[in-house]
Amino acid sequence: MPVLQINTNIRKENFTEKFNSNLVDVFAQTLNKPKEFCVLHVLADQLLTFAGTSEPCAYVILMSIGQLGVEENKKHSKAIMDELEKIGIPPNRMYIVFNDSHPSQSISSKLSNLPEWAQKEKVKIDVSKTKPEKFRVEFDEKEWNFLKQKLSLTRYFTPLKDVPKFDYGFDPEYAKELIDYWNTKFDWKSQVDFLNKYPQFRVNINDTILHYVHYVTNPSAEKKVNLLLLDGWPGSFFGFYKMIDFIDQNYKDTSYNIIVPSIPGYGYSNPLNKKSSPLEASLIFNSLMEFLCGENVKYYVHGEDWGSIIATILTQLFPQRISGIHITLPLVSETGLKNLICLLFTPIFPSYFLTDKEMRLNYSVRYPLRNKIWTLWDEFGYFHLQSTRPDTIGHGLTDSPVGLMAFILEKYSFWSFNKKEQISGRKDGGLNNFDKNYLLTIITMYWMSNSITSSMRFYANAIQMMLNFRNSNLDFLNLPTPKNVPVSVQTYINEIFVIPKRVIETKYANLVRYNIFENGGHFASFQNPENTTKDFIEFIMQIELNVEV
Amino acid sequence: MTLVKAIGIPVLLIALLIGLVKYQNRKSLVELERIEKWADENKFKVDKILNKPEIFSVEFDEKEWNFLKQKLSLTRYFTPLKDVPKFDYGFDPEYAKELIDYWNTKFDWKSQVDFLNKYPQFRVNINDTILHYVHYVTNPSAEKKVNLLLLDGWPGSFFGFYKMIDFIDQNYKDTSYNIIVPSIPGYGYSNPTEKVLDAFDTAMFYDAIMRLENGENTEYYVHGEDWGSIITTYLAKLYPKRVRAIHITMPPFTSFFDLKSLSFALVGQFFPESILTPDEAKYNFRFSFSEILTLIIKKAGYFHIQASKPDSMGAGMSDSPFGLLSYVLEKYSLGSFGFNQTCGTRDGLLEKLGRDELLTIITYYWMTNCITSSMRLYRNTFYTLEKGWPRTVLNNLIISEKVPVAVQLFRYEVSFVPFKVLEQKYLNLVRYNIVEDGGHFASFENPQKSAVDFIDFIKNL
Repeated sequence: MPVLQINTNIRKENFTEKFNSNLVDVFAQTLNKPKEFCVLHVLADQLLTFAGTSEPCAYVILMSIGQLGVEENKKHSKAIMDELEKIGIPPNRMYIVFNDSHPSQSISSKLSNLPEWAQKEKVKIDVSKTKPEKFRVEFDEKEWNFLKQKLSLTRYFTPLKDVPKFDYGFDPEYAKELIDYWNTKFDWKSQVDFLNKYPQFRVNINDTILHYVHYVTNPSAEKKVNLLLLDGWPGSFFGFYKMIDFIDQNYKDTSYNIIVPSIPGYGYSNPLNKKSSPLEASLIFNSLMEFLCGENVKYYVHGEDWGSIIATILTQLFPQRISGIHITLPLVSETGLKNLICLLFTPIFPSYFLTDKEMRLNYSVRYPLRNKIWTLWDEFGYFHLQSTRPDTIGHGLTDSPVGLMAFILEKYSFWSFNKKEQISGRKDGGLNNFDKNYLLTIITMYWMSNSITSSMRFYANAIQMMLNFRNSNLDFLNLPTPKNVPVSVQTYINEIFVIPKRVIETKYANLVRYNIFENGGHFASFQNPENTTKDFIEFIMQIELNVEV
Repeated sequence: MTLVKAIGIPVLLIALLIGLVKYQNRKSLVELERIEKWADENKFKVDKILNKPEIFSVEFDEKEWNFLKQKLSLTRYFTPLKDVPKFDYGFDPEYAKELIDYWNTKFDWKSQVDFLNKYPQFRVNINDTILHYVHYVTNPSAEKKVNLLLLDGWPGSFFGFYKMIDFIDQNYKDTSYNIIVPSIPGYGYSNPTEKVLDAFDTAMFYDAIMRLENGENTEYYVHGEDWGSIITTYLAKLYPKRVRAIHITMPPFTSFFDLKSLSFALVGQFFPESILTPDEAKYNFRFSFSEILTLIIKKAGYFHIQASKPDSMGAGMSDSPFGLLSYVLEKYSLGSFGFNQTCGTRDGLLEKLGRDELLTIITYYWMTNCITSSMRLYRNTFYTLEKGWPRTVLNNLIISEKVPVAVQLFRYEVSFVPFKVLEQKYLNLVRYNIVEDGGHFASFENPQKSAVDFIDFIKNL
């Protein structure tokens, strides 16, 4: 429905049929729309003044579905102004109003706006002034003693006797066991050495301190690939160490340039006193990659939890930088009747909606809809509270080590195992399946960096970001990912939400790989480093080979 | 033809709706009779010999007080966000530090303990559950005798009613009011419980206490806030013979998730003022789907986590006085004044409520180590439907004409149900007052207004 309306004070006679026909050709061509649909509406002989005088002037409205935008409009303006100048209307006495029929703007044109917007919003790093500093985790004796002092004064509450352990949350008796271990046997000093296994740096970008691990495997190998590993909450940068180990030892033919940043406000990316959302994280992470590897860098992203969401946003904002993303928690668009129907009816007609792989794992039978709704209620209290009042709960977790531990380790329990079979009623809630030292290292890191409140504010900021962008053309959360960026999804069966392939495909336009595994949960590379790494590297090889051919 | 359709169909639907509603009401009354019978058969058996109430007074425990101060001295804080208004993301850490310092250095817990002991208290074991309650009789020589039961909720306290009791004592000399203020099982000196007890059980315990103290055929008036409001409505439905009338500040939201109320919510979505009284409209109250949704999303985060993982939250709050203080006092701030008024203020307007008064509440929760137990009430009650009848139906039943109801709505109350909707559920709604200034903690913040409204209500019956 392209419409060109010209309001002008010059005489109607100027608009001959030949001129009009030509004008329509021009605007159809610049809009790239068929002439058959174009409408030209001329209101000549109008009482119109410009800058106070009634010399020839015009007020033009160009209406179109899509094909409008900052750069495009310049092109349209020139074309129209050139034509109108021929009949005596000077370009400097002309306004053109561009009317994009917003609700029906095509998805592809909305998507195409994003990279342009991203280039403008990009965090620009002044290479001359910005210098990353080497960073090492320090063993601070004073802080360690302070922590132990707090641990010795821990006060517990009485557990419920007539419910299975862990049904009401983290069991206090098991908490006491862990606290005693933490206080008497846990060797934080050795863990600090472990944390320093891979080289780390900190850099100040735009007043934000960003911490990252930077390690290059097999530097002498010819083939070079850049990897960005992103985790979320309550994760840690060293959760990827086993993944890095595995890559280093098993893929000798390629030199992987691995960067693992900590989200601003998490861990050693300093607790923030500024607002920071997944959008800011994507912008700053991409800038970091461009800074470290060059402006035309191309890299693969592996993302878990928030990392999956940040990876998804990266494909939309910087499609020219991303070679591919490998994620565990796909972000599914909330709007979409098709998706809703799929999610509701999958348990009833599984064979229609699910792939063979999903069917084999009995996914729909194991997770009927009623369970999903209860899971949503049972497991998302933390999300609800962190998205609305993060500071309020943060205080207790900042001041109490057992509070911090119970809150975080509950997630490592509930998100890694099957509730009925592996958690409920168990003394340890399934956590004995993990290395105690490893778990306590995560908690101690959150404690020492005093970053728990800052990390929880991310949720509130993310929700605000979603609501802000929903109302603009930059609603990237509801837009699909670009067709030219390959996506691989790897899910473990105990992930918080296992999403059917069909639904994922509506958002991830170029889903080249979808794998669902047993015996694992949300913390993919923490719980299953080998399997996760293999899937990631195989995906990369798949893409690299295609590119070469 | 279309005119007939345009008028006929809505008329038919409305007739259907009215018929359905009348049918529901009749069913309700039949169900209520069944429940009354069940409640009578299953009431807790109590007698003064088996269940001997013991005199109780709050102790000033020096060791515990020093332990608390030691913890306070080791408090670790966190940096506030610079680019948002204070209290926007939760309890402001700078104001929290102010309170912690005061608590540690100037707060006089010993004097507060004396204050807590102002009115006589007892503890009794009923059905293996320790129940604490205040029991005070005003003007014992007066001829007219009336039994009062005062119920509060979370995060409330029994002594939150003390100013109300003071007021009744001093201003209504013609009647002897026999006042009982119990603590919910799992709250305060009703000992942290190890059993799953919900609001329904609590109602049964409360009736048992009244019968224990005043005889099997006792009659009493109930005033309820927060959980107390819900428990009060349960009492009215379970024991209409004994509950003479009820006075509540927060009609339980859950009893309004039925066809009738939701239809009102639908109408209220498009014509907000049509379902409101002029007073309600004046204060900009709203009842609609979007309003209900906003309430759940913005205000009910704490409810959500307490109704799912109370133990995970409780660990930090049992161990950190700072954590306990921020979590609980945030409720006093938001609940009393609302988000709009507190956002950006230095103190969340808490100084208005009195620092000593608030710290007494927090110290009480701390000393009794009951915060986790108190939060479990949410999950216990939320999952209560698994226990079957009568819990499954109780919430949605109407309150019959046998029990007169008074609602006193404070302006900044957390949730709102319009008068026109209440009328449908409380068949004998005799009194409905809106208080222009005040919030969720009705009698704590406005003891005089609560007392006057309650006693007036009783006198007029």
